[in-house]
Amino acid sequence: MHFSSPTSSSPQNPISNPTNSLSTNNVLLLPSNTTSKMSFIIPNNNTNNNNNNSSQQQQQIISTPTSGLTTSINSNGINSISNVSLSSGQTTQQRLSFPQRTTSQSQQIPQEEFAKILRVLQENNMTESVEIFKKEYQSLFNKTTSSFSEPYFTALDGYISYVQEQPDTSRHEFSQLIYPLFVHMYLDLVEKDHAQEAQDFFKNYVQNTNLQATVFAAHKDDLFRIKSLVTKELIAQSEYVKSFRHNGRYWIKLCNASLELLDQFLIKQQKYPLLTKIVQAYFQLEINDGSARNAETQRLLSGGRLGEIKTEDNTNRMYYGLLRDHDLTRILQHKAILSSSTGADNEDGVGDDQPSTSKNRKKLKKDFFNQRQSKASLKVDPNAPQLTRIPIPELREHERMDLINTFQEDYSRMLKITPDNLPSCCYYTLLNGYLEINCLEVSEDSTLLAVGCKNSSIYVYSLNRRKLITMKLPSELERLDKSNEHIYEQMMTNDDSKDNTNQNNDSDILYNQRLLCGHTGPIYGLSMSREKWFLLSCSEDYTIRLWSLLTWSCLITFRGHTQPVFDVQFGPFGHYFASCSLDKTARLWCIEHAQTLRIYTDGCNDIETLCFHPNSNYIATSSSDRILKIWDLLESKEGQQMKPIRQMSGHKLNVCILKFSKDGRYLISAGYDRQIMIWDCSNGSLVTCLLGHSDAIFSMDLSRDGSILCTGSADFSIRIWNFGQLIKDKDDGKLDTLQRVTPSAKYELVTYRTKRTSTTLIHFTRRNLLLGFGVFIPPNDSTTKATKT
Amino acid sequence: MTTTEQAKAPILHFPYQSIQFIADSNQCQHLTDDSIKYLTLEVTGIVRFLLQDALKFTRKCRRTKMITDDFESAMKMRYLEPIVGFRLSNGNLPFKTTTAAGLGHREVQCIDDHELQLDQVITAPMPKIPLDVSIRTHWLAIEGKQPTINENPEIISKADLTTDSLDPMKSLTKKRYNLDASKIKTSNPHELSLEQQIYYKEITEACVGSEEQKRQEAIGSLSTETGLHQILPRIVLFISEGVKVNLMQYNLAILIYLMRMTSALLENKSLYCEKYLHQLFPAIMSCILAKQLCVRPDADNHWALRDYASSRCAQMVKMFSASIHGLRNRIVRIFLRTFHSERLPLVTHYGALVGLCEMGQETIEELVFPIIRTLGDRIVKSVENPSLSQMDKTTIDRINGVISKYIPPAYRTSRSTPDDIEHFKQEFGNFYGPRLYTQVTQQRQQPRSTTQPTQVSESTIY
Repeated sequence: MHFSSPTSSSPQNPISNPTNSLSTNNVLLLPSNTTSKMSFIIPNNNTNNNNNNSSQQQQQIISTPTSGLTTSINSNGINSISNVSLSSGQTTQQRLSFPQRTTSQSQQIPQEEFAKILRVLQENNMTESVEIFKKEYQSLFNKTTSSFSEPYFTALDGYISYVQEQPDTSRHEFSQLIYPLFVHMYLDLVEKDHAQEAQDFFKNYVQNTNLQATVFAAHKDDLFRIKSLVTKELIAQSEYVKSFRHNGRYWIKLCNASLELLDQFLIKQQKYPLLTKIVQAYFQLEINDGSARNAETQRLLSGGRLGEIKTEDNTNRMYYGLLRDHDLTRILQHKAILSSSTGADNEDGVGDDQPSTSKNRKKLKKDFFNQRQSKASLKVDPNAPQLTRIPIPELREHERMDLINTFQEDYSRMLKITPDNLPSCCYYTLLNGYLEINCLEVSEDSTLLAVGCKNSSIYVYSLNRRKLITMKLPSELERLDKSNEHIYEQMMTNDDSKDNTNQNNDSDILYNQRLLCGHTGPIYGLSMSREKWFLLSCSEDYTIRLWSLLTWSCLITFRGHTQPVFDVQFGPFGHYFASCSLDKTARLWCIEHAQTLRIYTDGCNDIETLCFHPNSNYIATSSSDRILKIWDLLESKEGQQMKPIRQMSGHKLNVCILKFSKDGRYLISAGYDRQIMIWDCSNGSLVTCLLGHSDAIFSMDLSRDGSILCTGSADFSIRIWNFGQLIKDKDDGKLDTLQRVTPSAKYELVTYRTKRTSTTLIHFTRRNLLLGFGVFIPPNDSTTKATKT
Repeated sequence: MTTTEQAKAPILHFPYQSIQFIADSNQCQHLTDDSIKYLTLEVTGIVRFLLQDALKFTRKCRRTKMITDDFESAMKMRYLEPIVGFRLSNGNLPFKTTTAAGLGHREVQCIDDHELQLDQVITAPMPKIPLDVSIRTHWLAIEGKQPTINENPEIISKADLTTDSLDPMKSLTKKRYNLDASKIKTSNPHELSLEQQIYYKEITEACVGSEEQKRQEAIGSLSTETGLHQILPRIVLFISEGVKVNLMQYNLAILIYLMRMTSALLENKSLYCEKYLHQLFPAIMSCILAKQLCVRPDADNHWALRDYASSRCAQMVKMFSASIHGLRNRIVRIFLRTFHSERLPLVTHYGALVGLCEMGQETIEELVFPIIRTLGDRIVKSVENPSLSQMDKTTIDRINGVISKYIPPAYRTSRSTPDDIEHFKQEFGNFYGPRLYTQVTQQRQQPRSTTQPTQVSESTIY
């Protein structure tokens, strides 16, 4: 589509052609009018045949929704077809009516008039008046024709005032279109080399405080990008425009009534042909079931670069259940159940804890093995994927025993966090690391801390007093007796002498630290495997490295990404890991192969963070278009492109952290827009949005029993939310689904404030002690921080 | 596009001149204006793209502030050679602009690389060694409560506390709103931990004990410790009760110690005494205005206590009058009422006078100037009284001292020359008029800085 002749695209003038506009304009969308005369909106009769055809086509397609077959109109089809018809109509019309059009209507009439008056004046020899009249006319004429942006202004103003006229209950539905219309108009103006007018256009609307607060609030980040696009060439280069214009259509969800009204306005009235063109070229309207959503819900769901998410994109089945048949899950789950029951037993106090746990432990061991035998009797979760859907390595025997033992110990002493029994928080402040430390990672058992630095080095610290263990040299390993029961302990070096000397230094909590060198750029992501054998790191140098935490050396370098790698994470069962990068892909790897297993591409958007689903069948990613996507690890059918199984839009700025709930059903996301959004994976809908933080949210963790959500933010606070209660309320239908935004008071349990440390990592230990990690920010930065955009 | 349109709504870009200059230096001398304009827009756009890319890195590193390394990363990402070696120092560009005559007075930029004197570098003290990353642990919260230790921030914000002290009902209703009815905790009124109890005992004992060394430490602890919120009410109660008891027993030393404790509490930045003013002010006022503070009023230096307490009083008024409406007026009114009641002894009048004078220039001008005349009359009357005690004599001397200490400087700043002795007599009465006249004229001859009114030096009290 091209916009070069806005005047020519509006040959239909309701004033000059009243009969036409009354009888022939209601072509689109109303099947009851099938009998009415169906000439399309072009006044020239030469094109009548053509128009009839196209409108009939439209009629057929449009009649589908009313027949009740589908709930969503495939307006793509409509639009493209009507586009074709419109443009073809135009071309014919342009060709045929060319001689008339050059002097037609708005331009022609004043010109004729002008000539007439001029003649009269000249005849009467009024030279002075002739001069003045000429000037006057010139100025008038120039003003109206030279300003290319005039139709843009009138069209958008017209639409905004149209939106204002709508009743309060549905106004927000219409206002959804303002932002994308504005952007497309601006880009058009720039592309037509009207940079200055484009700037005026931009300023006029962006500085409008009313619009700022409502329509543009969700798109601040993109507006900043748009502002810098001032020439055609910049637009051609811009990634943003690529993802905005060419990555799909802007998706808008409306209720049926609004859609009809909008159709009336855009297609039938044709007051602003420019609007119609843009809507037809770039928009996709979807009918929402039932009545209009309330403004709040819509405001929450807006913010994606391309509007909302197609409903049909989220219809595929997702198996969000846990892998109950896998040993690891069973160990985790079983203990979680047990701990809650012991928690109920031990309500009297801590003193009773010891005897009952030992009793329980015996019982538990018995239970556990009983359960293993009666595997078949377990209830099958319909939402859980098959164990073999994604091949997952079984636990080794010694590993399983280790796990059972350690988890027994820890889970039996796990604190149950309730509103009356809030978690204690131990805080690790990293000093002298501001601007140097990029990322942190803590091991599952909370004993190791890995720190990724800007200068490409990785430090690993031991958080308990135990020394970091190292495996013996191969020559020494050969000499070991492999049948020995304690073979694994003997494989490690144990320098008891060193231990003794260091024990004197009691104040030094960092008993030991290790440096891992190998990357050649800042480290952006770290992930430790559950058994503390491996550490993954990703860096700006496009590589991911796998480090052994036993030999303290780099094992493999994974190459494949072509841009800085932003995040990497181990799967919950180890073996697999996923990475995402600025090269607009997320990749799935396995530590046994150097090649990529899967590549998930995301058109035009960088992928910034990711998170593994607890059943290791899915990964969730967040990309720079602020849309969360969940991808399936299972290979798609031959030749098909990997498509996300779920998409969720609602964040207004970049997402910093994603987490799945412990039962795998909910995805929690938070980021720079200060919202904590909770999504239901079963259908991709928003459960609720928690507000409370006053700055970007950087870190998040769920307690081991999954009932408490904890978030750390740049506003120097940690907030603790009653996630379990929220989900319970949601299941009971008590959650105010109309409102969606939950004020912090309702589910927030407590706020812990830190002193100038923004928490970049939060972690619950197995006993539900909260650990916070953050880099201390020197105070002299406070002034600059306050002035950030 | 004309230049006038440009001025109307400029697109933010680099100056054309610099682009032209860069083009010149790259052997492209003959660029038309249009091409330069185009180039400028293009360059600006590219820099903006780079900034947007740099923002990605800033956000990934969980920062709220972009640093030069982010920009470098962005350049690397676009396969541009990163600029190495330039760092922003104090937020300023490290360039200096000069004009070069040889280049047709074009602006030339060079790196601001100032010369260092070698011997200065050698003799300069060694700079601080940059420290490696270190980890420090502390308890941010224990079972839902944040312990008040130095690693934790002040839990209650000043604004919260002010509203709390001004309108307790408001915060109460707010809390109601926060909690579900079922979740309201059983009230647990300020149960002190064992450590806090010990601390309280130790501190109070040390403060009123006999060992000066210990007292110094205790006072220091009171003025710096951050975790005193819990025991603050007890300490305040200790002070107010202590003043009550010791006033009766004329125990001057203890009263002085209690005033020092008050002073320490006021100094402590983590404490907010607004809630306890109703207890602190009566105690302080009693120490200023009491008829008798010590066993032998003619011999003991109870004047120091009165002076010290009045300066504390003035300090408190200054601290809290912003948040508590009419505090100043109330305090001043008490002093004035005391002053005007004839039947009270002269020592009390002395206290009221000092208390008023400590309030500052404005109070002295508005309130003390008019009462000097009555004061003079009163003194003349009591001097004429044959039964003038030794005590009253010293009091009169003291009052004279206060008058000559505070009034002349205040007068000097408020009224301009010339001074007229008749005018003085008229304003301050026959007793003080001539005295003040001589003092003021004397002071006017001296340079201003030396005549500033000095505060009651605290060394007198220690």
